Amino acid sequence: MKKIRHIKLIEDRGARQMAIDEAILNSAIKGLSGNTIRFYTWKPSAISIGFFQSMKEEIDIDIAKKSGVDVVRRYTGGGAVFHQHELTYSLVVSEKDVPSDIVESYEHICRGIILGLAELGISASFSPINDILVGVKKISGNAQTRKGGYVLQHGTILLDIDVEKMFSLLLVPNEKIKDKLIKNVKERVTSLYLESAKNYKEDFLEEIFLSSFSKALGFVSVKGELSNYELQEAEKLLKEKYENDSWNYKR
Amino acid sequence: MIPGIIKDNMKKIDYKVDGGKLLRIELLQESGIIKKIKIKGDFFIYPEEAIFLIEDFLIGKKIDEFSSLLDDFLRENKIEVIGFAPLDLEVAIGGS
Repeated sequence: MKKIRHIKLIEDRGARQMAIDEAILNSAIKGLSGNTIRFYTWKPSAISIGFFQSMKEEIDIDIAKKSGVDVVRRYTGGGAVFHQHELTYSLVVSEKDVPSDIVESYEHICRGIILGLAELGISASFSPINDILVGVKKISGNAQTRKGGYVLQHGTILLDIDVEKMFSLLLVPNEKIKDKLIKNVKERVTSLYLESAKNYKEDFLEEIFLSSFSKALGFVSVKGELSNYELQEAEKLLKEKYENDSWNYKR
Repeated sequence: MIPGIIKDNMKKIDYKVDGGKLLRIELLQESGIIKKIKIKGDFFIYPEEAIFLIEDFLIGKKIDEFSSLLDDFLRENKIEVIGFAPLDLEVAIGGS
């Protein structure tokens, strides 16, 4: 069975998490490492925006700053996400190990989350393009990039939600319908806590989802560390890209 | 026109693609010809950097008559767009 390196959960700020994700991808492209999975949490809480989004259009930056919420632009596309009570997974795998069709590959990788949720007694399903739903409610959003023969997919597993706080930070196209949007989101988003009434420890969830991703993707996980190359590359990407306005405010 | 103030003249268009993503477009057009365009939103493009090629390609095209040209351009350059189709983009800005 193919092996996948597992990097132990890292709690850190968003810019560094994005830098580590890209460093792992670059390491794989250079042939210095292979398939890798890790989980992480965002401290402090942060909003990430997709590659094609504009920070100023999506986020109330003043309120984010006053609330101590970080902002960062991802290398992946997709929408703005408020990362607060959340476990994030990040997976770097060879393109050969997933379907070549992009939406099919989202579904393939997302099976890892669906199996993990099933372990917790939650029945969920994939909803194209990139979401996982419990009934009609979203519990996970996912984003993927492909580069140099490798796929980087990262995504959220919502542990709990604070819709009011989220909407104080995210800009909506029309302020007049903000209350309606908040109501809609409450009806369309769920979390592990809402589904199970349990506050799972992150370590426990890491074990559950490491096992379910390995099973879904046909890998056996092997404990590993970030290499010196990855640590140095992450620092470089952090300074030159993810904590730099020229990247974060590019569009 | 002074390049520095082009942005201020750009028209903003938000367009939700049916069954797809939200396009947030900034467009400057003259007599139905695209002069400048920025396509933002929660979609995906593979590779991501191709967005700049797409935006450059659209300059000089008619706002209501570029979707089949863009289809060809994407295919020829092996660019994959997920969340909207060239025709959605044409509908979004063609009526502007």
